[in-house]
Amino acid sequence: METVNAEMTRRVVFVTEDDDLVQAYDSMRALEIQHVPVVREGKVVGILSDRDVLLHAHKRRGRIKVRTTKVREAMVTDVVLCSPTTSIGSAVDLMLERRIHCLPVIDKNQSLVGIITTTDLLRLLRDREWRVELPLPFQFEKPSFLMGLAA
Amino acid sequence: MPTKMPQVREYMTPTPHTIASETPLKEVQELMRQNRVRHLPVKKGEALVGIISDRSVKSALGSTGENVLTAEDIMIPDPFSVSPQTNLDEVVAAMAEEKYGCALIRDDDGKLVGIFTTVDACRALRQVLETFYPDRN
Repeated sequence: METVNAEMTRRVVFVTEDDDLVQAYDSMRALEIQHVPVVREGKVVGILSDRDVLLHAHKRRGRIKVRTTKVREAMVTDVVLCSPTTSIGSAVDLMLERRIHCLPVIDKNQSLVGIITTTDLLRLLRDREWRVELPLPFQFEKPSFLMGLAA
Repeated sequence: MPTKMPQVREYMTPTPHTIASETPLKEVQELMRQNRVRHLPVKKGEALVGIISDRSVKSALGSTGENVLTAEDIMIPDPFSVSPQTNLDEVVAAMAEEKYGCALIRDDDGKLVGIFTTVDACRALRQVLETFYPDRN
């Protein structure tokens, strides 16, 4: 089975806990990404999603205004991670079980090396030649007078 | 061995929860929480008129006057919809390209018969992986 290594995004946008939440959200919007790992000295310490940011925002005159605060106030610290050798099946299981939409990928040194999201999985589902085998429209039946003969 | 591409109807969530367009946002939020969903199709009477996501609800609940906002005020009208017979690869291609969180499945009469979300896509991927890699650990 394919592993996360084959499908993950390697050029990962990340933020730090001390970054301004407004700037982090603006960057996410500009790059059209919904999740960004929060990193401290190369190690993942949290995840920031646009949903998390919206809990610290309000709408004024039709525009979203994010509160002036730091990423650490909005990020989630209970992060689910995987490795590049994690199978795609296991990655899917993790996302379904934990009801999450992205998995930061870390190497054996615990350093961030990639990210895999449900969008990547959608592309995988789109691009593969998945086919469901159809059953044959008829069935073979061995005549009784042939029973006992070698196939 | 002849093969076919799966259709979205095989992986959609049938008869999804819906909400009335006049539902207040706080109630929309509670319905999403209770049913553990992130998208709700919006109906006005019997007609399907839009889709509302938890993102829209979250951003709107912080706004001034949120007590008077209803589902209709923040819904996305004319949501991405496909027929149940649409090939799965076409649906996920559109969702990946446009970053849709879901596709509404509507029959020939326009009636809502299902919803296909990124979670359903994960389940579909899970199933096809099991088919192609039955001995995976």
